[in-house]
Amino acid sequence: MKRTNNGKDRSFVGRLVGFFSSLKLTIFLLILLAVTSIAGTVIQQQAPPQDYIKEYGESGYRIIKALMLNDMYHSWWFLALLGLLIINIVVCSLDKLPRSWRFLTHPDKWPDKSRLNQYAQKAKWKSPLGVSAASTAVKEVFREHGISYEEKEDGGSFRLFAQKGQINRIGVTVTHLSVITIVLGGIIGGIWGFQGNMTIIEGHSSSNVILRDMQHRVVLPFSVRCDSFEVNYYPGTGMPKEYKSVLSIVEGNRTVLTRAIRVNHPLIYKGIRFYQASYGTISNERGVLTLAVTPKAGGEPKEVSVPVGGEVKIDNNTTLKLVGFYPDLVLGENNQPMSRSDELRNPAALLEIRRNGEFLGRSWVFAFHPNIHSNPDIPYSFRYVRFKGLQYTGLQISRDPGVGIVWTGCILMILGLIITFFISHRRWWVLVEPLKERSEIIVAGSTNRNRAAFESSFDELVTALKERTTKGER
Amino acid sequence: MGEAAVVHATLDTKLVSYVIFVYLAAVVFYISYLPYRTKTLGRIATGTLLLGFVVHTAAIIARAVISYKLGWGHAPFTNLYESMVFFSWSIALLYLILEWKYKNKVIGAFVVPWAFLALAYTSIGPGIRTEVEPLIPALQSNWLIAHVITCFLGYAAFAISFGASVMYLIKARKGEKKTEKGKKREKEGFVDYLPDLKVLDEINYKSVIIGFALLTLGIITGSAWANYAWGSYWSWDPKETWSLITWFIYAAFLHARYTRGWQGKRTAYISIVGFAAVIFTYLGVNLIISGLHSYA
Repeated sequence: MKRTNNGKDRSFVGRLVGFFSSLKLTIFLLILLAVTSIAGTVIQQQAPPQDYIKEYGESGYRIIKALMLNDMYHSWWFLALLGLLIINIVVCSLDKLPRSWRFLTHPDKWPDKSRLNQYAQKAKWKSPLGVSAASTAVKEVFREHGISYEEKEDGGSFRLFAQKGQINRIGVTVTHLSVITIVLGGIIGGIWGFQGNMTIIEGHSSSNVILRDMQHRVVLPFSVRCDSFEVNYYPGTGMPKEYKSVLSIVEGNRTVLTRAIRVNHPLIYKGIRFYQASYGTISNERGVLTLAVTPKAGGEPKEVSVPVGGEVKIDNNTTLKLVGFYPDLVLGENNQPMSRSDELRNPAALLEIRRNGEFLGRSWVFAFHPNIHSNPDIPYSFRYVRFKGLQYTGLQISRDPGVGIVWTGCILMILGLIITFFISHRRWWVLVEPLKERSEIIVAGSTNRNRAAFESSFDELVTALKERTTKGER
Repeated sequence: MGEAAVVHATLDTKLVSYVIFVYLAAVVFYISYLPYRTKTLGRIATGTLLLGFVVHTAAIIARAVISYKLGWGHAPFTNLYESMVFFSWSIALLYLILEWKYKNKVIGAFVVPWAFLALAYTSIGPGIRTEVEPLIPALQSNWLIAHVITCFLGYAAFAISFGASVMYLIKARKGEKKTEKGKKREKEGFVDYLPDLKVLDEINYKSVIIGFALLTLGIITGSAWANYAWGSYWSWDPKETWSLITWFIYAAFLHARYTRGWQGKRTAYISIVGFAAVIFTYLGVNLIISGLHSYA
């Protein structure tokens, strides 16, 4: 590619390349992307139209719709800005790479004396030693400083070249390549991947994934069964510790895999990931309550389970009926018991006890207040053990063939940033020329980053060199 | 039900409340160091900050220990309070390194106040819960620890670049006035005590480099975590988007710095805008916009 710096190439292609490789364009695009991105954080994204109309009115919605601000990160204009940035990065990299690459393949090892004098860091002194003794001393100092070097005899004079961190020259390219890789991974995921949800009732199975747009669906080539779902709480608190679904993958009629998934621990099967996303209770009416029943006359407690509305015998002639169950009991109007939610925040059960069909009495059982109520007419006491409603698990399901490429890009980016910013390309040249019986020494140094640190290390190196090559004098 | 076993006024929160006052004292010493510049005052300022930092570190460790003793066992980076405490700690840490490297205590007057303000905010900010709490399932991830550490060290680096930029602009402006007036007054006040423009510019640039690398790591670890927890490494959530906006701004800074002429004042302005974006990413998003990232 022709060098297009300074816009000197006036052809159309040249000017185009000049435009797309300009840093001004980069800065302009970065700032434009930053500013436009704000809109999507203020305006709700991908919400149904009525939400926008409610918030911004009819005309407001029309503007939002026209500018595609309701889904701006997928709008053509936002993607076009990103596309321009990518073109900018590609052209810049192609434009700059040959020059950076030359530093690696054709390092400027043996510049002539006049160019040596042009470097910012340089020192020149006379040594009482001859060329060979002085060059031996120079090499010694370089070795002691841990700088490996190349040397060359050059018509009676001695030359040395050393460099460190030359990889820095391709750091920017690696970083830019990483951005392209990440975007590529994102595009691949966007085209060939999908994201959706699936809700499965305990004991049921499904292979239908409802996609994010809530309109399309994907049918998986196998089905997923939810064997059970449970929430575990931190002891003594109402805070959930773990949401766990036991899932089975069913291919044909065969269960090929059974695994428990939790938040942060998805199941991956054939490239499709299943995440624990939500849950809920389908019905508490179909739940089963387990109670510990203890005869007041004395005796061992016995666990009995009873479905809501159902009856169970607790001894030969006594029946227990679960009249009502309230997972989250509160007192409503007129002190009517009611449940505030479907969650087991304050479970309470109302029992009815009959002996030989004859009504004995009713009793409340509270999960969190075991001693609150005891009907004297009933010869048993009851303790809440557990309640299991019929629950469903909400799974987030995704397939993203681009995700590996994205992570590769991320690793490249970290490497690229490290070699760009924390490694500098440092070079040293030494020329020892004969001066009658003695010699003249020229040392030059150059760095492309972190000049201050290099200056002081260069000065230190020169001091050591001078000391070693002038010690014969005195 | 009032049965929540959260622990109030634990040792760590008490320690933090002492550190607030120690940092306030450090701020006063660093500011008074500006005009007087005596060695003793400088030593007192650094010593006070160091004392605060040691107690601050102890408080963070104590909080982790308390959480482990309660059987919840998590690193103390899980809500707004804990993140603020860590943000302040990061600023203090990076500043102490900076002071040690540059042997310049003047910068402290512009950086240490941020460590103090972040910490003071934990006790005056609205709705900040200081209790040690168990972790909700989404937060039970090792990515969280990597994410929080990288993000907040990055934010702290940006806080330093912000401090350096403000100093740069003050000094540059006063410098211009001075040349206009033709060096009438010998002493211009504290501006003369600010570090060289060159040094300030370099501090700005270097902290942006470090902040940018850490922010990049923070975004990447956050994406990795999101990919494990929610099945998507990027979902244009407001917090994610704002972190990207911040990233764009500092990327613009680095590209602008790369071309000649974009140094000093102009990059100082970008740095200030960048830090405003950092603060908005951290606090504004949670206070104004709601989203996935609702804990801190």
